[in-house]
Amino acid sequence: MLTMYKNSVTRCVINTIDIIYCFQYTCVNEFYIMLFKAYYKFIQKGSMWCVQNLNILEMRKIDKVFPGVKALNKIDFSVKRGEVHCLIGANGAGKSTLMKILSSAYTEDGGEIFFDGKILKSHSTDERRKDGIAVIYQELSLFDELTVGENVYMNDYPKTRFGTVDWKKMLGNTQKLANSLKIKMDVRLKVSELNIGQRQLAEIMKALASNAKLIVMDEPSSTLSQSEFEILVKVIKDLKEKGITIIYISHHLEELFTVGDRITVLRDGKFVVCKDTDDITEDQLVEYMTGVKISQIQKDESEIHKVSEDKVLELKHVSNHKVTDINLSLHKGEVVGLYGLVGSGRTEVLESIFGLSPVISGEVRIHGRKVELRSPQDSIRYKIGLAPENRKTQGLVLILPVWENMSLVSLLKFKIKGRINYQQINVECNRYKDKLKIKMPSVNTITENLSGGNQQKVILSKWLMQDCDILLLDEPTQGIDVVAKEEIYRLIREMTIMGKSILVVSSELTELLRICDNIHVMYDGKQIISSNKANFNQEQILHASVVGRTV
Amino acid sequence: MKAKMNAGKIIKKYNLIFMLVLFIVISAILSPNFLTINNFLNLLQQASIPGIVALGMTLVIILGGIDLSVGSVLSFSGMIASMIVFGFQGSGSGIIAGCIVSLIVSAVMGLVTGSLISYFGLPPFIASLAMMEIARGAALLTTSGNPVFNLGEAFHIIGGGFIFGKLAISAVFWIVLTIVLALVLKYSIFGRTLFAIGGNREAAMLSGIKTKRNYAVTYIICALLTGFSGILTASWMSTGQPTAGTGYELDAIAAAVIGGASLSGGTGSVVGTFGGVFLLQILTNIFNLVGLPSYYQRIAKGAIIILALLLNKFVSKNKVK
Repeated sequence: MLTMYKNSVTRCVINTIDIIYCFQYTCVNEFYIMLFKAYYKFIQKGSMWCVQNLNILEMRKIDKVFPGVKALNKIDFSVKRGEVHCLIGANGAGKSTLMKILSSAYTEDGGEIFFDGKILKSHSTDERRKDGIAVIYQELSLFDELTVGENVYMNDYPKTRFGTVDWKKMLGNTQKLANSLKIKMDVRLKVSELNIGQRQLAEIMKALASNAKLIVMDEPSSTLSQSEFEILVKVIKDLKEKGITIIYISHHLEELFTVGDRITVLRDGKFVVCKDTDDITEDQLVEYMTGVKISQIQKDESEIHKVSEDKVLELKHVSNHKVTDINLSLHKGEVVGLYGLVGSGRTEVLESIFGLSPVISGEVRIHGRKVELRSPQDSIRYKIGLAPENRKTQGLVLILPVWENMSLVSLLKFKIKGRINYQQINVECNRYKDKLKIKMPSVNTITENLSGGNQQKVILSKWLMQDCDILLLDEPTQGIDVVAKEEIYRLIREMTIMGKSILVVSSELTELLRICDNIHVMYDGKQIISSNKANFNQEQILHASVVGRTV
Repeated sequence: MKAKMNAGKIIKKYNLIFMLVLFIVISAILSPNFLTINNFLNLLQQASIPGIVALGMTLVIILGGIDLSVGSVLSFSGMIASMIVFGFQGSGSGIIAGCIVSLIVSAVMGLVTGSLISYFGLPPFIASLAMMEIARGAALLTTSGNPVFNLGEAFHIIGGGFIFGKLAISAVFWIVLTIVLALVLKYSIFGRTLFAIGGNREAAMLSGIKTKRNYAVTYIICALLTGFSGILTASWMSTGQPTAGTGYELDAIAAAVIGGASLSGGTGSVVGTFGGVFLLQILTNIFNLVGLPSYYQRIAKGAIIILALLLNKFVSKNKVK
């Protein structure tokens, strides 16, 4: 053992630290025992013996690259044992990516993770769960048709001596667990019979049943009512008393001060700051989140073109199931952006314009005329097109060739003498292939095999072929690499020159600041502020989107 | 790499023809009577009725649905037609009335199934299973389970007659309907939208396609084709048989799948289905010619379905790589 030990220089250094550490607290007699223990443990686990008592989790220099994007850039993130650590940042700052690396849903491209005294090497989510890391995602992962008890013990059903499921023990243990957290819940109920708040608590119980030492809660409050949130706060306090560490991710800043001990801020994939909640104010947080890049926004002056006075689309006090009192107008050749956090109601505004979500009150005007949009067909008739948020599941029929997707809306145009004219479709599709510079072997390529950027261009061609005047783009550059993004921006610009009007929803503010003539900020279904290109203020927009009010 | 992909595509596209040729060769070796014009025409005639049912099923499968009610709708339609023909003692007007009424009833059944699926959101499997029970019950109810005989010579011509001496009229119907539907799928907007809906219903809806209406229409077309097969069956046997068409739904699904359709929707062709039906019919034929009991046929049929699908899967897997 000793020779093994001497093999590595680094290990020697660490051992020296161990010795000094131990020396301070133990007498010489016990020293050898301690030394043996320490280094036995070290060899067994490869552990950082002295660090583990302080920090349960240390993520060091974590890198993650997605095609064309550096999602995480040498992020250091450490969490003390038994604290509630808040992790915040604007959309795309890297919170979710970091947590997915922690749960091993993603594999890091660089860096190390130390958890509970050992390096996490294996990249299986199951191993991480066994190590004691539980992640509760925003979209909960419970089985609706099973009881709470079954869900809680899903990964490890208690068994009787005959090998069958021990229902009595399972339900009994779950009930005990619920009681210990002072949760009022009948664990024999099916999950489908629980409300959202109770489901969240069931997830927490599930994490505890698998002996989690660290629980990550991703936006737990986003769907909770105030009273449900208060219950959650109490449960979090109980968990803390049990010595369980919590990473709490939220967009709602005021919550962090209620539940959190420390706050780490990320921005653009980089670590910004880590502070005690007592040492920081809400306004400072916003400053950290937004940074001071305002002066750096690219404003191509040459690209500011004159927007015509012609109003093509106008929403007046529009409300639907999610948003209330939306007012906006879209002129010919104008690009208008809708910014807000995920779930703030941006997509729902587009849904009402595309006839997917009925307008409860207010009116939609197209070219000044009040219209009723009850279905996508109605909207298409008024020359509106939609590039939906999810390209693969909503925008394209992936198993069909590109030409088929491109001509899907405008098929009627190609019906000549009672039958579809394939030659003309082919000519037209190739025209858009060249015009939009879609990279693919031919228009007969199966759409699934195209890259994200090219798929988005296929969707745009679909609407251009139908000769749409108004284009609704929902997250047009999501998951697209930088080069393709530039292409999409160029296309948007070209389309406005052609006289199209464009309404863009995006989570990337820099993107909107660059392409839009006007930006409206949404928060919790409401329109908070609107500003035009002349007086864009990045900080103000971000502040409004995060806290729901102007500075 | 590119050449390999093309080879894979060719095998996938023509694997049915490959299998057909293989079976014809094997059959020809096994029985000298197989490769005769008489036997071939006989094959066409026997395959025509299940063939027409399978055409409708193919449309439904392309759409991403399934229709288990075809066998029952076939017998119910046949019962209605034969009862009316019997009532009019086989006269010309009775035949016309019988055909029209049974087609209307079939269409209504298709409309109900299709609407339950598209407008009320029932799963296709369940909705058509329910319709299968209802139609079968109704077919048995018409005559308390008894067959209707004595439908007359004139009625027999539709499904049992021949032109040019040996070519069955029902086979002509089958071939013509296959061509018509192939053209509809290729050259009509309705046809193209079926593939889009089957491939991704939400994307189709967001592209302004009336997915619900097209769902209902497709089930109506399927039921009409089935109802027509019911008339052909009754006419061919000169008997209204309330138990006719049992198991046709599974044969039709098998034929469509052998012909390249995928139960998850978005792919399939009526010409492929034509080949699939023909393949299954060759199988029955050769077992009869050789004189093996029909039990073997069913085992062989199952094996063929597995073989055809594995071949498809194997080829497409290669393609992805």
